[in-house]
Amino acid sequence: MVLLNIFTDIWNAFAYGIFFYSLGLMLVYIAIAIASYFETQTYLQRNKFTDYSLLASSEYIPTVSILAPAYNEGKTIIDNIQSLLSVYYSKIELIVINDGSTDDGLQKMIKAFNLEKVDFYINYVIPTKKILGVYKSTNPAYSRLIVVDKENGGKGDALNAGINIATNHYFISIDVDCVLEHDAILKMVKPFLEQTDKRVIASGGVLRIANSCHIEKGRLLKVRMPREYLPRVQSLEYIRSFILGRMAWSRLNGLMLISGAFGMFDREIVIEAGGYNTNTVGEDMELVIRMRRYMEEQDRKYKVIYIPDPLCWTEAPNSLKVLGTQRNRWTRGLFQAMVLHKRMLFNPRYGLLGMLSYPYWFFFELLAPIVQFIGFVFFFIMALMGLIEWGFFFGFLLFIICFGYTYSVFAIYMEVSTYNQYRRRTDVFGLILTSLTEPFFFQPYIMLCGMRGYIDLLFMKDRHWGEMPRLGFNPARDDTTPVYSELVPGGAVHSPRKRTASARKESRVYTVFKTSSNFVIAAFKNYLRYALVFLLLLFAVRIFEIVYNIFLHGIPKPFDEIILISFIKDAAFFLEIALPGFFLYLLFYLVNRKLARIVFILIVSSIILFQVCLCQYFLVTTVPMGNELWSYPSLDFLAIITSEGWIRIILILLLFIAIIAILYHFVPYRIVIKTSMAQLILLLFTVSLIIHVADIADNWTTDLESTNNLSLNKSWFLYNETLEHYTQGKLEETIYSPSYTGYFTNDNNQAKPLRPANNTAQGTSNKNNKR
Amino acid sequence: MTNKLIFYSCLHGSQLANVFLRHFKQDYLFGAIKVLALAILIIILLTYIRLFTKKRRFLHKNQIKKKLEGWIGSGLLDKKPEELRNMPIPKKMLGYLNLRIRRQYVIDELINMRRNFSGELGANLSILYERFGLKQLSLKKLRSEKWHLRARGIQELYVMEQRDMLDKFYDATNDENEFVRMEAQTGIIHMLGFNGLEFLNHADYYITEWQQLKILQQLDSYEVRPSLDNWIQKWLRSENNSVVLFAIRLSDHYQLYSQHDNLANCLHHENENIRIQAACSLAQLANENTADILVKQFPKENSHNKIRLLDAMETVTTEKQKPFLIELLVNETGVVKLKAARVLAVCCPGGLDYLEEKAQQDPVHYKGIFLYAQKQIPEWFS
Repeated sequence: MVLLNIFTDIWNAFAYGIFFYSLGLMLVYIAIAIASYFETQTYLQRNKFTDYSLLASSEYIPTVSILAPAYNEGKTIIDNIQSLLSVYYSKIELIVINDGSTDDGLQKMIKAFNLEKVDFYINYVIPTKKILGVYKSTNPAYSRLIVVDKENGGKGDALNAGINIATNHYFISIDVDCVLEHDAILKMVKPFLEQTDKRVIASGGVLRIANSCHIEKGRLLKVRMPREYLPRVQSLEYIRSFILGRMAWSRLNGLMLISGAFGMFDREIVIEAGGYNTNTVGEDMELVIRMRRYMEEQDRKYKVIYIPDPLCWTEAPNSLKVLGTQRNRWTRGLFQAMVLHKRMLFNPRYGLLGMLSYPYWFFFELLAPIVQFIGFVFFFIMALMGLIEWGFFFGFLLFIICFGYTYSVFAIYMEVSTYNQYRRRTDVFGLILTSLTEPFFFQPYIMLCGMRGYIDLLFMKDRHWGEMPRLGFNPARDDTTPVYSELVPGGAVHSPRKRTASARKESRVYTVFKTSSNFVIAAFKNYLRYALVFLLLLFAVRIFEIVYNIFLHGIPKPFDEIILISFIKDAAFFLEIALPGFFLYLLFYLVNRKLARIVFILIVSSIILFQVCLCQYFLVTTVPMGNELWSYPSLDFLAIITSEGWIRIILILLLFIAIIAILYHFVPYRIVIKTSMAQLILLLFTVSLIIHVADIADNWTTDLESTNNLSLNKSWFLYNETLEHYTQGKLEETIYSPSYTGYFTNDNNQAKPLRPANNTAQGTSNKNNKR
Repeated sequence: MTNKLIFYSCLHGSQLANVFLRHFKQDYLFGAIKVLALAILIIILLTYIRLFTKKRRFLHKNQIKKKLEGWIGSGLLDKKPEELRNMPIPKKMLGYLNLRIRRQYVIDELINMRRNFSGELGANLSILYERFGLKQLSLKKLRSEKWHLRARGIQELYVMEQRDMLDKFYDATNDENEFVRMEAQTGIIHMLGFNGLEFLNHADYYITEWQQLKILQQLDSYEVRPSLDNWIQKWLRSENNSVVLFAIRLSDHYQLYSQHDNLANCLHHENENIRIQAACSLAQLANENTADILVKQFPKENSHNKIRLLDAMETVTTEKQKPFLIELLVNETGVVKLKAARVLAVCCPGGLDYLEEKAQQDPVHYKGIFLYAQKQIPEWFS
């Protein structure tokens, strides 16, 4: 008993802790949104008085060293260097550091820029891996270019080598594949020229996603919204992070992160602070924290500046694998940086940095994946144990999701009202739609990547950066681009991957297993394209039903709740039948892919048209069709659904046939599903079937019977009724039965078995009591 | 961010439900959801309204720009000022000035034109600005309590050469808001040229490097330069360090050799930036004593400043300083050593030979330095 009490106390403390954690997080986000709004307004007003062209032509501007580490960037390196050399700033020194690349990048540079090895005294103010050579161009047009070839030591080490070679007071660290706005460096330099009593130690700019943008020879010609889902969702993420998050922290002078992709630093302070840490994968963040810590410990006044103008465009990962690697690295980097500077946590000596910035990053960024993961695990445990109060759960979930959407749409609003890079209405709409899907797919995936990062840390695995293959901004398939094939039935495998030696060594069992699983996943990816259209069709029927219901019976109350519940029930119905549907599809897919597609479309069309009929029945009678269908004379059923005229129902059915045809003709081929995404969705379908998500959704009701009936998915209801009827062998006399005598009894025992099981009784099951 | 919160609700849905249901009613939750849903809809609506108004403004602005350019381009600017002052303004044009926002578009357009035209054409644009009654709008901004409106008002007035506003600009050069201050300083220089620098006499606030560069750029457009010696002497004694820095820069920029000794005095200034700027400027205005002055200053500076001093010395060093540089090669470390080698090689006859000899004697320490120094010598010199 005592143990139980202790357990309960711990549990309650945990529950309250989680509650206050999420409450705190929400308050922080609200504060960030408000602070960012005011800071952005101030910045925009200030910027109206700045004429950058004046500075561009001045002979007094400081010379800036641009440090661009490159590792296996051979595909794009020449264009990227050309782009960096043509920035709108006359006094630059571009130092490209080839960090032990294994590709032909260095040879390409030597050839393209007429480089030759020069004797160069390197003052190792920061220790680095061995520098193999320093190259300068014999062509005076490239006199500002220095290429450093060194042993591989990671990004931090490459940047340290660049710092050693740089001769200027300020340096910019940049990812070599980034595309800069023409005035980016002018904007970065300005804060350093504006410093007064506080020394500006670093400035950072906004990073934007360049996927799908029109870029030629390293110049951004036209901004476009990324066409693919993953880059688009990252666009939204970057907008939120840069326009809201960093802007707010900048207002408080609490910035702890200057993006490694584009940041400017005071070289002297960087050297005094010890340069980049080569033992971490988050060297950009670690450096800023260390510089700030150094300044605090020296009691020197300083500022870290953030510039909200879009300055730098970068390619975002467009596959789950690469995205996962990147986020895994971010988590590890954040963890390492936090651990290295743990003494700052709630340490008043470090002022705002120790009391606010560091705790924020610690609690709400570092611990977030862990807390989320624990939440996820507990959720499944309790779901299995039946401990979840579903009504409250969904209510709370909806609240949280709505809060997230509010934050996202506010970020979109800020983007539109400030720098407005995506000017087309459809682009903005695309962003809004993307924000709707984000919490269900992208965010959980990011959480999983974060957890994987922790696991890697735990087992001291993969301490490196991890490769991020670049497609280039205008990718044209070349010989080196791997061709990934999709397994198709009948053993016809197009463009197979080359078998490597290691692959040949794989055991036969493993190969069979791998081939089978690849086949299943390929089939599932195909299935998913058609299944998602089915979901859209279900929603279309729902819209029809609600609109028609309003037309016939007025607006149901509470309207908003009804809309919500209805769509959730439809989605739940879809999730419930999705996996069995896949097994059926797989069966046909084994025979022929086309056959599977045709059969599936025919089945879906039948379900949808039947559902339309069921909706029509409900709209006329205001009662959903239950198991009485099996006892109704079919002519009576037809009479009811055609009560408003044959033509109307035929028109409605024709309309839906057209919708089905259009959707199946245009949509499936446009849906791109990556393997990892397909695996996740397969997991979701499986879980949905196990927990009977449609039944859970059915529990969500309102106080009004009529509205509850409206919100039901009519097909699911009919299926349940039928199932219950047949499985329980419930035989009641029906007034439509030829044997009906008018005799009524409540005693079930007496009522059976007057008729065989397939002639069922009229009436509703227990579930109908809710009506 | 949603996912950070989304899974907490999983917990809340279970045991927590029991805890919180004591405090919260589910109705409150739905109420909050409704509020958030409404907020989402409103924000989306605002976003689209914003998109629409931005596009409309852009089109409107273009329309006004075309009309104005057409009207002004029809020989209007060739007229004499008196003619322009008495000429009736077309009704269509007056129609554009009905709304405040349109008036602002017209001001913006006139300002853009004014920046591109000088002389009589420019003066005519200023007359039009007054005739349209736009000056009143700028004056209203100048009286505003909001700093950005005040700065905007000053900008409009000085671009339109409203010289009767000079006193107000002069007062604003010491305004507590940095942007108002900067616009006023820019305005004064814009209208008075070098004479406008008088504001430095009583500048209490820091003049940023950015603003200094801006003023220097502005001053470059004036061909006639009055003697600045007296003023610079005064500014070099200013309590405002930024004024001292700017005065040193002015001496350097306009090659005021007469200020050499005053700049040498600045090497004793307590502010590090002033000392370094003075050293750099001294090198530009060098005479036969400069190198010795810099050598004397050398031991008093930290390693970072020593590097800057050596950079400055590169143009003034003679054989006289050779022993000093050799001493640096032996006693100093890192970049200071390297810079000393560079100065030795570039400025002192036989300096490179000395380095080569050292490299042969002690290749571990001096070979790299020698190779580096060798590369630093300009081809014409070697």
